[in-house]
Amino acid sequence: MKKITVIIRNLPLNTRRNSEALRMSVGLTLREDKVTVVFIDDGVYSATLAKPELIGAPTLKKEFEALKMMKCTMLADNPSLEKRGIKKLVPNVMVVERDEIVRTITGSDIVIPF
Amino acid sequence: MKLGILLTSSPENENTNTVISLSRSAREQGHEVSIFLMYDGVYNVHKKEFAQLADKGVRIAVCALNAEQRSVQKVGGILFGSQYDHACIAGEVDRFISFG
Repeated sequence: MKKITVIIRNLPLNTRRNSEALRMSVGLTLREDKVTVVFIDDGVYSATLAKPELIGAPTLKKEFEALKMMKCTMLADNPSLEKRGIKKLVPNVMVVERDEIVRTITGSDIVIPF
Repeated sequence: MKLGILLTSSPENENTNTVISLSRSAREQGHEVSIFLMYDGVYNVHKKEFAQLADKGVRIAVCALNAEQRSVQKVGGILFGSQYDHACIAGEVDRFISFG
């Protein structure tokens, strides 16, 4: 079993990159590998309770539900949240300090910044 | 050694040339190379260099959903598969590099 970490760090509403990163993460759970998704920098906006459908952008509901179902760990970087004044996140996304993010990355076999 | 490469950027990005030259060199050194193209990376599938890599034994797979979304036509010798194929590459290789 490998430990795979996917890093999401871009703004969500001007690109499909973040939703694709989540879809890819779902795909990576299909084997026995342990997948962790890290939201950092502007990527933390993807883990908020935003309503992208209001501007015609795709929602991430399906991806988050699938990741929850596949028991994928999802971490949000607290310094990134504080800097942006973000308080509420999608359920199952854990707020962690930067140390924990570093531990996750250094403990991974594969790191995919998407 | 088995090397896995994920490419998510389109052909005008310098990543494409890096992936091609890296894969070519790795193959010449006898390493097994698997490339997965997804997101805008699927546009690379029509570059002749990727067909040449496939001829040299590089395994290339494409996210068929992304290809369909972008009306990218199928190419012989290249697997139009799913994210499961990407998971298999990630699970089986010794080293994995992401370009995006």
